[in-house]
Amino acid sequence: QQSCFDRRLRGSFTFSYYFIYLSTWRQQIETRPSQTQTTSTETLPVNKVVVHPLVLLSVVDHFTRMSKIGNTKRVVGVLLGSWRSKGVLDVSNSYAGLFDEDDKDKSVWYLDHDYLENKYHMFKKVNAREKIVGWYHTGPKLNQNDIAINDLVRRYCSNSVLVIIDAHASNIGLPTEAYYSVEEVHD
Amino acid sequence: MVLESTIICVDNSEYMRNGDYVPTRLQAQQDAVNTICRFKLRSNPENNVGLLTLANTEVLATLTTDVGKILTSLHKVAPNGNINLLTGIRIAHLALKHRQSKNHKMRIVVFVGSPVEQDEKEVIKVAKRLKKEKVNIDIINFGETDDNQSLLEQLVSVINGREGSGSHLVTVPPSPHLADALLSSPIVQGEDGAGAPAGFASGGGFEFGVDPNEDPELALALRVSMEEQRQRQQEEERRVQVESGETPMEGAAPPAAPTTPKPPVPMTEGGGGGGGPTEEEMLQQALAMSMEGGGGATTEAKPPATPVTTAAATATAAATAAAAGAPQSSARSGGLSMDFSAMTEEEQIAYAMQISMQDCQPKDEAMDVDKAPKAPKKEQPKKEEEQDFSEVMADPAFLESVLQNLPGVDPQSQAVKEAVGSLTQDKDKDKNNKEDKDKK
Repeated sequence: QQSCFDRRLRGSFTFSYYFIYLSTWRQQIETRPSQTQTTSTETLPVNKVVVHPLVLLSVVDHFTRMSKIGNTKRVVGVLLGSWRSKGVLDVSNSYAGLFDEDDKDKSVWYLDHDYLENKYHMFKKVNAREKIVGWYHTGPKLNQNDIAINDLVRRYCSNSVLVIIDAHASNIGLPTEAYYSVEEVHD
Repeated sequence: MVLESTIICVDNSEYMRNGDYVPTRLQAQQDAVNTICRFKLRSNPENNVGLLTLANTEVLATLTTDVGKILTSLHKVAPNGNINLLTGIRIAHLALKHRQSKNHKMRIVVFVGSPVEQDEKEVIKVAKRLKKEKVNIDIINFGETDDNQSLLEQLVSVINGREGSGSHLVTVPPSPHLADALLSSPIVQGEDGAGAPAGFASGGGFEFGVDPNEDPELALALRVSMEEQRQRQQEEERRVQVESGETPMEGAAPPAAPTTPKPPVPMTEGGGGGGGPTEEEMLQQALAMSMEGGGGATTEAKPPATPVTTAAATATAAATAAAAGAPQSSARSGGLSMDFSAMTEEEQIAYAMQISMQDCQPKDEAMDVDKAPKAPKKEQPKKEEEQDFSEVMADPAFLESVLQNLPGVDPQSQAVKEAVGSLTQDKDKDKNNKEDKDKK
């Protein structure tokens, strides 16, 4: 599945970023979603994302914690991990971030990057191998400002991966969807 | 000293390349942001400041108390695109909503230097929302002042409402001094006019000669110690006035407190700084011993009490850089006075004479010359007659020293000199008569 967002800038070129759906594997259960476009994903630096159970637990906990105080909007956080082998990303840990957005105006959002940076430095002290590899949110779908948020996370990690983790219980299929942003230039 | 979280919104549109504010509008803005930032963080140490750009709305620095962080991200700002005022204000409001302490008041400072192409209705809607959430906004209108004036005025007036005055609009015409214009504006002055300290704008004459930018802790400590010293002096004066009706003798000890210069007072009051006891302390010690030797009247108990209590007060004074030596010396003087009571009267007198002889070097001040002979002279009459104040009073040298200590009396004045001179002549005559008698 692809999602395509056009961003027209003044000038002769138009850029469009779109997220390519990556196949995600969980450590114990191996399922291969049929929609994977293996041809295009193999040219990307990432073509497989392995999500550890701890991450799923943390994200669901984050979401539940926020909904307890009445916030039913999506929650955003950062993913930590490492590269298992070429093209395979291991997401082993995560932490929550302070995120808020305006319901009506999609371009108004706030993610406290100072807090994220500080927290990453603390995580680095206990496990130097875990690096920032991307970010997550609980969706459940892709949003208009995801590209802008992705740009912010790209400051800390050049190949940032977005994983949408659906916090609402559903026993069918995987709760995760991974996306990678691709820059496309066309006239 | 308002507890406040402020988000500063800088205009980094293409209009900031303009050089009508020296050197460029962007640079002038950076200086102004620097000024505001320092002021906010100095007025209350718990204040927070954040930074945001209006053109490609992005939060450069989240709410922090560190000036350095704001300045480093400020320098990365480059002109780019056109501003989107309302989005910027909305994002600033979001950021303020997530401030750490809900006690902090919310404030947005916006620099507008390019035309605002926003619908008036939208602007009023945003203003009403900010008013509801009790957010104050300060707008600095520079650059394209004419175009934006009416719109920004409307924005500020809606936020202020009927009675409020928390929000301000400052319009700065093209000049090299954007930052200076702000210093005199209500943005930095605050609502009650208690604004930046006097020497701030000049950049040279700081309070206490210490730059609050370089060493804020030292400046704060000095300020606190000055306040305490002032309070202590006021208490001293109050106590002096209560006791001043009793005996003129007390004039010697307590006036030492108000007349001595301010910063070294904690040192000279209770005891000398660092080295040996000063003349003042020796005088007080001598007085104390003479009082103790005399005993009796309750009024006498007070002068020894005052030197001892001032010593105790300085011992308990807050630790400041200046008063470091005082606690040590005051403790020592406290210890000395204890010893004095243990010694017999004769030993005390001998000790007093010894001290006064030791440290008494010939100086230009008449004071010292008076003190050295004064101490033994005073003790002699004490020995002979216990409470013979009249004779001590008649001693011209002592009188002169007392007069010098009294504020408002000039011992050099003609009248005083004559009076003292006449007394001296009489005393000399008496002395000569006495010696003749003894010879005989």
